[in-house]
Amino acid sequence: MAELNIQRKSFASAVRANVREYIVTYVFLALSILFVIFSGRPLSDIFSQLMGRMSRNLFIVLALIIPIIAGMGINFAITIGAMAAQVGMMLAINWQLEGMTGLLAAAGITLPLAALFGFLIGSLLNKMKGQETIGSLILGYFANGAYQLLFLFIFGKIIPLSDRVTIIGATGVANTLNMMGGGMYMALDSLISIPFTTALYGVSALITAAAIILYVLKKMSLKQLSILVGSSVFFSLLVLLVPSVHQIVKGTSVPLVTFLLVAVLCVFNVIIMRTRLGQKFRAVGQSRSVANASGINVNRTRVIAIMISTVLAGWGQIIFIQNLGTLQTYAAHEMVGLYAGAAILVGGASLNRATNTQAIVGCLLFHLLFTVSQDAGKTLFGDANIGEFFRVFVAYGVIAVALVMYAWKGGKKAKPLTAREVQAKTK
Amino acid sequence: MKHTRMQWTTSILLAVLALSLLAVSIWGFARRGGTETGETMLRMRNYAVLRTASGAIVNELTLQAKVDARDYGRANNFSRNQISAYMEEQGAIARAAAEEKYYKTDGLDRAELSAAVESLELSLSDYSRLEAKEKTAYAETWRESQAVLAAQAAVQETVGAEGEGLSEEAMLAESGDEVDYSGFVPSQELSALADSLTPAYDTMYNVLALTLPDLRPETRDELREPLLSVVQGGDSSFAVEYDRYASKGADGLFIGEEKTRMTITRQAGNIAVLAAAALIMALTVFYYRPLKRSLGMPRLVITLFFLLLCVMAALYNINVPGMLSTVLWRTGMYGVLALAMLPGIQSGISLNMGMTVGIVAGLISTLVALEMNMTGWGAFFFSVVGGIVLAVPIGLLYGKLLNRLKGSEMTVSTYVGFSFVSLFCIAWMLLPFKNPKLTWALGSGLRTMHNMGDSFGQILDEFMSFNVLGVHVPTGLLLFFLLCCLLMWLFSRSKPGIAMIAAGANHRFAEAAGVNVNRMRIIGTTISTVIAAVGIIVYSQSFGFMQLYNGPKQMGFVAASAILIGGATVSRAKVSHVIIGTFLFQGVLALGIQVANAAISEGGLSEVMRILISNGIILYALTQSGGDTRG
Repeated sequence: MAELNIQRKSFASAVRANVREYIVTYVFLALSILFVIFSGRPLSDIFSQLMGRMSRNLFIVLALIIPIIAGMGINFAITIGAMAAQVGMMLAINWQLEGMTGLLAAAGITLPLAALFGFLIGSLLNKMKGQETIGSLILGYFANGAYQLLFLFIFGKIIPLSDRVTIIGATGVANTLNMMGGGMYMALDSLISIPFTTALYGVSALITAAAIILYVLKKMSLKQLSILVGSSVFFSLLVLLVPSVHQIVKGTSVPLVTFLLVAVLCVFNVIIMRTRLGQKFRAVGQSRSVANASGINVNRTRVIAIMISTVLAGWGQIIFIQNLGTLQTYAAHEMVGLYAGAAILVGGASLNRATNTQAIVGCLLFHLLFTVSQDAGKTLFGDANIGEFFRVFVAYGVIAVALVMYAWKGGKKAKPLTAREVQAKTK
Repeated sequence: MKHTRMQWTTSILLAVLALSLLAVSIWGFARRGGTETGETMLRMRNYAVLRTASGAIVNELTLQAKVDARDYGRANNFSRNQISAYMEEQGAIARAAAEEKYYKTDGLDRAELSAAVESLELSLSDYSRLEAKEKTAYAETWRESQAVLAAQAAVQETVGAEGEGLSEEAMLAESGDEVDYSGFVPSQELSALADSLTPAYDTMYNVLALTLPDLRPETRDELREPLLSVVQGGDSSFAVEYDRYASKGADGLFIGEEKTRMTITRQAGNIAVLAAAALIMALTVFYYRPLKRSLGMPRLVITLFFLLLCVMAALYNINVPGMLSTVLWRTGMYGVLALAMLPGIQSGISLNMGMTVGIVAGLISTLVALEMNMTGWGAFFFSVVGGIVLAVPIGLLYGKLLNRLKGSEMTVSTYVGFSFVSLFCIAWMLLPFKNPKLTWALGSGLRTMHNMGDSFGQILDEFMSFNVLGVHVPTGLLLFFLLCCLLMWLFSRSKPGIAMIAAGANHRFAEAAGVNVNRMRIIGTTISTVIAAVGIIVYSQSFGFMQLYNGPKQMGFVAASAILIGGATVSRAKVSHVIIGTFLFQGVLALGIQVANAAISEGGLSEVMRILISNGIILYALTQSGGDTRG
């Protein structure tokens, strides 16, 4: 009896701890469900739109993980990576490159540019340790000025460009660059596009097989195996056997290659943490002074973290733009940092801890709310604009709450002991 | 004070350059009044008159040749392209021949011509003066009507969630636009004067016809307008007159040295400006180290940039009094907002980017005043008092929050400010304001922009305002700003003020001295919030529009940049930093808009400049804050 009580107690306290840890996520989940109900839109519609949003946004959200682990907070300067990608895309359009060639060329240009920018960002953030979040935000704004200078007054004037990207009589690069004609629109997404159901069964089968192999090789515990296999089977059966669920996902197709890239990035994030470099990231993230004492070059490690993040964000932006089909030259990068940062925090990440799962869950919830907020705003308040404002508020609000909670905890921990407490302890 | 050899050489070279430029410029100015120059100018004028008349003949002949060519082509069954090519060719040949024949200088020194032009100028003077007066009046009404149109367009703009409201730069640039004189109607008096010119003009035309025998009497009326505009008369300055003649090709008259001499005479003013610039450079190089020490690198750079813009403004002939008026106006407009940063920094919460919570309080109280159709001083004071009343509790709560977050106040306050602004984006849609002036005609919610013209727009600006040498001084606005500064200064001398600054400078020391640091931080935050509320009211009345929705989002950044440019750091600031910083920052922006517009007639550059300066200075301050000691 007593044993059962202890178990029950520990279970209850585990739930309580979990809720306390992921309060933002749960509140968001409740809010999203509420909004889905009030939006009054068919679920299949929401689902297919959500899949589209996931395919184009998830990559960038995953790019935020490494700097968080390296203790640099949310790297809002990923906007600069997005800018590098836009330079690449603009040049690809300018050179009339088509389809995947164009995308690969853009990605190729992004790599050195974003790496260079990442190096500069990292070096600057090293001069403002402890203020990286705000520093990277303002750095993003600053870079936006430089970007406008480049695109308005240098491209097309000092560096000649063709009239595919400029407008005669106007200054600089055109406001909107259309990629529908050039074949870059959905070039990546449409490589292999299969129905969601097929994709789900395939992925479930793969996961089950991989999990069993890993279990046989003794790389995985029975608990992990049962969770993975159980959830794969559960979701597959859910779709297969329950007609209403099948109805929701039936019409949605999945850009396989895009999600494959996302999966590769997830694996990359896991594997890099097992390398020496990943160990350094973790060590620096936990304590700079300890890391320094154990012979790690703290500044260099932090610069590398930011460089990787910036390059990944650039590639993520390419995925984003090819999915949209038009490049809003002066606006496409502005919200990248805000939305990605809010998404990962919604998933339950904090300023010093983040995982792939948190990024994926966060992206899913955040964009679910995005998809339905306008319609929900219309139903609840009779004005779609309110839904629009609400989602911007949610983005900022989530970040503010996460920052407050983090600083609150940190403040409690860092509070120096008062003289009386020290006395009490020594006694 | 030790100077390196490099400094000595550079500054001496620059000083020599400045002195020689100054000498050249003085020589140029002196020559302007000289008889020799006067004679040259008369020759230039005669040439310009002749050239205008002969230009008409040349054009006529060219046209004739083209018509002939077309007829010839048609007669010989040329294709369309061939005809146009042939026309171009024949036209060019005819033009060259006519220019050879008529663009000559032999009739230039005829006494009759000089006398005729002179007498025309005399009778023109009255006309020109009156015309200039009437045109100025017309331009003023035109600009006003344009401003009203712009305001209406702005108010009608639809709400966009991501729209940052109307760009203020865009609105300010409106006033610099070229005036469209197509609607100008001369008064009766002016028309009468114009008629009285006819005899003098006819005499001149006849003299011209003597020199140019091919000048037909039929073109007399046609040429009247261009010829009168060359002679003009009135009180135009040397440079204006010179440019007028030169545009007719009269500067082609000079050969060899005379060209250099006349160019120097014409450019004397600009050379003087360059001399001043060289002198400033010399002084900067010479006193580089003490300057850098006392101003700090960024302020030194910004000050030099400001001076550079002044030089460019002078070179581009930008209207100096108008510019100074703008700088004064903008300083007062943003000053109080920048002042809101001061107590935040002093009490140790670093840059209070969350001052937008105070701004929202100010906006709400102004909206209440507008809702009740209040006007004038009553509305202004009601808004200010209401804003303060609202801001105090908000500031207290906000200060309490910040006390829990020591070390990362700036990060948190930025996002708290952002979320507060976006929360109020929703609130503006839902708050129960009923006045049709405030709400959208269709649908619900408050408008994005509110014209303050019929409530208390510019009430401070116009209070005791006056013009000195063309500079419009917004006395009330500046007085109010300085009054706020004085109050803050007095507070910083008072006992709680000293305690607050001590708490911000070194909280351990202050705690040891018995100061309640947390309480002081709350006081600082509250004062900052209150000043922000007052600041946005002052800003709105001065700007003439109140911006809701995303309008206030970037205000914290503008204020932070201003105080940092003034020389503050994230942990130390004085009242003087606010005044100097606002003046420099707004000066650079105001000048930058005008110079950028004059230099490359494209908008947008000034906005880019604002983004770079504003965020650059904040980044610099962050790198200086020595991040390692915090967080």
